[in-house]
Amino acid sequence: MKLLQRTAALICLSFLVTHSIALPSQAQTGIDRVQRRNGIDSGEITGTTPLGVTISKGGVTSQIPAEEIRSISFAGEPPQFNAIRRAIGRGRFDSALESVEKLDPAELARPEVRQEFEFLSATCQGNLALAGKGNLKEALVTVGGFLSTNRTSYHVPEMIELQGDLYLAAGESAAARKKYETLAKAPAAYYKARSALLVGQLLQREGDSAGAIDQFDAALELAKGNTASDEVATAATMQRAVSLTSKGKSQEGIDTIKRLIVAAPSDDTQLLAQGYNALGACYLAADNPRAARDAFLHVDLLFPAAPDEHAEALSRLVSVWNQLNQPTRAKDAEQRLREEYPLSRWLGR
Amino acid sequence: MACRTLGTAILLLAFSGVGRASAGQGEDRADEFLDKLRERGWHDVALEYLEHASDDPLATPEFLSRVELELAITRRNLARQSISGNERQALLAAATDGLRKFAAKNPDSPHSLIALSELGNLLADQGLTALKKVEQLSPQGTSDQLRKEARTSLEEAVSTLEQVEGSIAVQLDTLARAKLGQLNKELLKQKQELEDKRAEVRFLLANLNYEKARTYPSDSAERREVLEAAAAGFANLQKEYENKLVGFYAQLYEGRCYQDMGDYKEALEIYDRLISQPVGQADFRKLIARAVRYRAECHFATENYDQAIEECSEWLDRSRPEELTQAEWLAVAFRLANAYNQKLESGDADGNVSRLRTEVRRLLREVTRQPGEFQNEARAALALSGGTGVKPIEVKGFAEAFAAGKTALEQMGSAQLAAKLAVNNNPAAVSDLEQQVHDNREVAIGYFESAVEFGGAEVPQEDLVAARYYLSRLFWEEGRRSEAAALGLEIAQQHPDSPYAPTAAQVTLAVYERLFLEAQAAKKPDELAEATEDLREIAELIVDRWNDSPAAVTATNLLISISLRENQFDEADRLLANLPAQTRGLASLNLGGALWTRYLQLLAEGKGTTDPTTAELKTRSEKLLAEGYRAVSENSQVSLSQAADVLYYVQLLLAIGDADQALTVLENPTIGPLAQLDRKEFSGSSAFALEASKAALQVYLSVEPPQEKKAIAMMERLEEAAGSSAQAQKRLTSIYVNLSLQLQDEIKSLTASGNQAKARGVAAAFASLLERVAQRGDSQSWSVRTWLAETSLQLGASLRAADSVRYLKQAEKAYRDLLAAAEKDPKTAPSELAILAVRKKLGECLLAQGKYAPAVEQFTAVLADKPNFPELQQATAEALQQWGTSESDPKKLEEAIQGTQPQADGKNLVWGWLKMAKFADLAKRTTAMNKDPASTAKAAKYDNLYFDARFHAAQARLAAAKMATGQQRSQQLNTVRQSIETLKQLYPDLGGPGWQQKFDSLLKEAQE
Repeated sequence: MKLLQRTAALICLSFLVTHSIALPSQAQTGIDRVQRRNGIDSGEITGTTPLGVTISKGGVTSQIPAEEIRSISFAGEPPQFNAIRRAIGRGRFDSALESVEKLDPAELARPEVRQEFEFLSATCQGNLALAGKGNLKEALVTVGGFLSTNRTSYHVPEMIELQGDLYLAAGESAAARKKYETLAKAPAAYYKARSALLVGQLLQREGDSAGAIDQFDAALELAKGNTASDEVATAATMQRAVSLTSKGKSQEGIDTIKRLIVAAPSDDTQLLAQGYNALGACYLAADNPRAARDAFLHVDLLFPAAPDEHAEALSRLVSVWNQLNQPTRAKDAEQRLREEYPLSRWLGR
Repeated sequence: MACRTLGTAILLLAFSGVGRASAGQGEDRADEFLDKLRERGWHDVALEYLEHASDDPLATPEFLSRVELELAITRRNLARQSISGNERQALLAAATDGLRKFAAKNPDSPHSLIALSELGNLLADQGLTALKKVEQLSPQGTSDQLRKEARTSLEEAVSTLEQVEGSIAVQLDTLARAKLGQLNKELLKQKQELEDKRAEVRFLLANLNYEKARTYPSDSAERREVLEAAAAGFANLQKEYENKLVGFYAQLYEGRCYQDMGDYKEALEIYDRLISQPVGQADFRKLIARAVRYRAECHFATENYDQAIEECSEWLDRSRPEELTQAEWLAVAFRLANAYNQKLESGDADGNVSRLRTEVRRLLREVTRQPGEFQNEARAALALSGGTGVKPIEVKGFAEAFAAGKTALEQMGSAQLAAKLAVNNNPAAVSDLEQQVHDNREVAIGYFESAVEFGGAEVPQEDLVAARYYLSRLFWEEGRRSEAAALGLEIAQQHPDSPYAPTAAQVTLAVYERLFLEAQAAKKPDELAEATEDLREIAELIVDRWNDSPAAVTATNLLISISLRENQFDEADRLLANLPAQTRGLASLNLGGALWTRYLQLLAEGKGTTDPTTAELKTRSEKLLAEGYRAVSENSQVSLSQAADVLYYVQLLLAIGDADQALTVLENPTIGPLAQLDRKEFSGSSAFALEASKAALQVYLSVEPPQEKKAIAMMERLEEAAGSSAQAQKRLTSIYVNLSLQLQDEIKSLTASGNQAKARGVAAAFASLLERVAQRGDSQSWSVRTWLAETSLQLGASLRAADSVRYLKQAEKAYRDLLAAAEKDPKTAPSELAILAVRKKLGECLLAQGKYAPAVEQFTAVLADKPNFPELQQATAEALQQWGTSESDPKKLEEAIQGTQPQADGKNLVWGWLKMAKFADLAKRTTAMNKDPASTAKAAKYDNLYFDARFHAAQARLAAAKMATGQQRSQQLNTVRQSIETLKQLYPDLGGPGWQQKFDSLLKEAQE
């Protein structure tokens, strides 16, 4: 088992350091569209690596780093891909997988499209397993398979993170940590920051507040001056505050989150939801379940439009209501979590 | 305008639109969050959120500035949800207080209008609730206090709503001054809203006047005056809002004013004008239905039942089927049933008795099916008509069984209410109604048992819990205690968030408490242990889950009692600390009182005040009683047990020397012990009266300056409380003596600590009181006067020489006055022996002043009557010895040794030390022959007396030797030595170490 893990880690590492190996692009018709964080680039994807893609437009080629890419619509991809991506965006991994399985990979001639197909399939399987709706081991095999056969995919970092998440869900935190640490091998500051954030969260979960704070500090340092890393920085700031609270510095932690919430744009539902979830976690760490309840209820009642965060809030409310001797309200939260987010990883926790 | 039936209903509608939006605020997440919580009915969470709203990062300063208002509104909402009457009252009181404070603190806030209107609503609601209570439970008008409370609430509501009206007028005026061009749509809308609200407020004000009239007795001039004012108000409204619904409602209410004044003709005309309006729109039809009902009432008053029947029947016949279940139509149906009943009772049924009875029951049943103004009355009437149908029906499924159970429960409640009212109105019906209560309870139990059996996964959880809860309560009422307790416990444990859970837990608590008390009374240790464990389990559950409920206070008090029984004081403290601050006060008082009684118990068992356990108990009880007293000070009344705890606090304050605070607590006009003495409920507790009077007497004597008049009054009260029996008098004397000893201890302690000035001050203050008491002469009882004299004597004895003189003189005078009184009228003294006792005391008093001759004279006067009184003989010999020593008179010393005053039989009346020793030796030997404990104790006493006499004899001889010279001196010294040596041979231990030391010292002196 250990040997297998080591091998997998080496393969992953090689993906990141051999980024110059690019897939030859096949002749095709139509235009590739890259949905970036800010705007859309269109042209022809002429090469992909784990660090990004090369796009050519009017004879001019440019690189788009992987962390900048939200999604790519490849010319010639099955029309179902967009619907599948939307379903994944809504967390409907079951229907997305169903659609994926209806497609015949043999019909996908373009390598990038085949890669995309495998990515979508692995993403669905991995997330379903995280939600407790699929087999974790099988999902790990699928994701591992993707990584070994699609070394040049720009999805590689994302898949490594998913692999880490699956190990974590399977109770193999050491393996998970290795996966997260692998991300730091990438030259981009974004992945180094993301790696530190994920390791920090893992340590936080294991109760190592001091270790977690070190990782969050590192993430914050690495994210400095990098717009793509803003989300990582925000998450690191929040999680650092939670760990500070666990370490006994509850006021400092809580004040940090409150400042973030106050500074957040009033229409940034997701950020506000993340803030209140973090605030709730801080209050839980400070053994103040009533204040935690109020924080999670803010997400439930005011920001349900942020699905992941709402699912997290509902999941937390289940235990908080029980702690406050309100089993009916706990059952209600649980039922809504099951009904509204049947495939959320928060349901699997 | 959505005017509705009663003022309250309209009030609740008022200002629903005047919210935060009109206050000109933009998006506020905290508001949104609060609204969502309220939408879900989570007012408990809303309350906690608001209490810590400043912790919410998105709460704006504007939101935080009106948290007090939102808290009050939330408390009101919670009150409406609460199923506990006490909790509801407490929440409403807090809500009222909060609204009042907010409005006062923020007169210029755009939200003050909301606060004032909410306050007006609440006050009116409270007034009307009080009024309803008066009318339901005290039809004879006995509840004047309640009427007054209702009036105060209504008057305050009027004053509050007048402020609202004024505020609306100012806002409208501001709008009116805006230029036409500025009047955009929004402003026009705002203007219209304000106009509508002004109409509502004006209607309410007139209506409150009408309701206020009901707070005066029916035929009083005040009632008529208020009704006339209300009628005038409604008439003005009609003019102002002509052809509008509010105007028509004003007309209806004007009619009610005349109806209440007994002017039925005028009322009927007004109602008739309403009824003659074209009937169409639904809201207007409701108004007409009410006019029909009031017309029927006017016809009742003039005994025109046929007319009432005709009009009600006609209206009901003309009504639409869906209208018949509405409150206004049910009221008409109820009045129709009343009219039929009147016909039946007056024997004017023209052979239609059976048909009319059936019709009455049908109508009443219809009224009982819907919640409304007459539902309870209809149920009670149905119960009285024997038409409640207690025979169980077959039920299929949970829903049917549950509904049937609730109906049976309601019928049981109706029969209970009817029975309560029948005590005054129809005593003959009471036993039948009580039987109905019993029958309905049994039927209800049957239905709920079926419901529980039917209950499955498809049944709503809350209904299933409700069925179990009702069953548990009914079992408790039926005396099926173990079943009641088990069900209550099951609900509390498995459905803790159900609204029924805390009350169900209380049922279990009540059962277990009863079992606990029974086991305690029966002194059965095994049963008591089991009952204690059960009680502990449920009480802990209540405290853990419903920590801020009144039941938690009861449960904590029980747990504290258990802990105290088991001497677990730390546990008791822990329990107390777990209670929320606002409910901790009463429990603190209870625990403090328990610790104080434990402290007194330990003192009685011989533990000293310096013992660490007792000292700790005292410190703890001091802190707790102070905390509890502060909390209970806010109450207007206390229970017997709380009053006892407050009395303990007074005792404790006296014990720690804080007489000033003791006086404050004692005389607290509402909760102080003295305030309780005149309460009827306390008349049965003579122990409380006795202890309260005793503590009061001590307080009045201990404060600086002492309050003499109050002390004397308290002595009289104390004698009254003690009773007149011989035993009671004995107890009284013992109280006085103890009190004097306490005061003496206080003076001694001050003297010992070098605080001579304060000791002198306390003694002087005390003595001046004694003088005053002594001056009361014959009006004083023998026991009080002897106590006063004794106290003076002891005061003198506890002070140093110069300071003691006046008290000894005072004591002498007091004793002489007593003897003089007894001589004048022997009945003054309770017995002859009492006179002799006073003589002996007078002798002691004289002796303490160095007045030897008169002292001996007093002693011998007593000896003449009681020669064989060893203590008296002892005192006389002592007096002679002191006399001889002090005045260097060997003759007196000789008399002290040998005795004096030979009688006719040749024997000395005064025995002297030697004969005393012989007597004691003989008595000791005789007594020692019996081996019982009492004889052994007596023998020990005589043994001590023997050595005392021998010692004094030797001491007197030594004193005489010192006065002599030459051979006489040597002989006397030799006698001393020999007597001690002989004694040593006879009794080698010389009566114990104490005496041994004394004899050795004497021997040494004689040898020198």
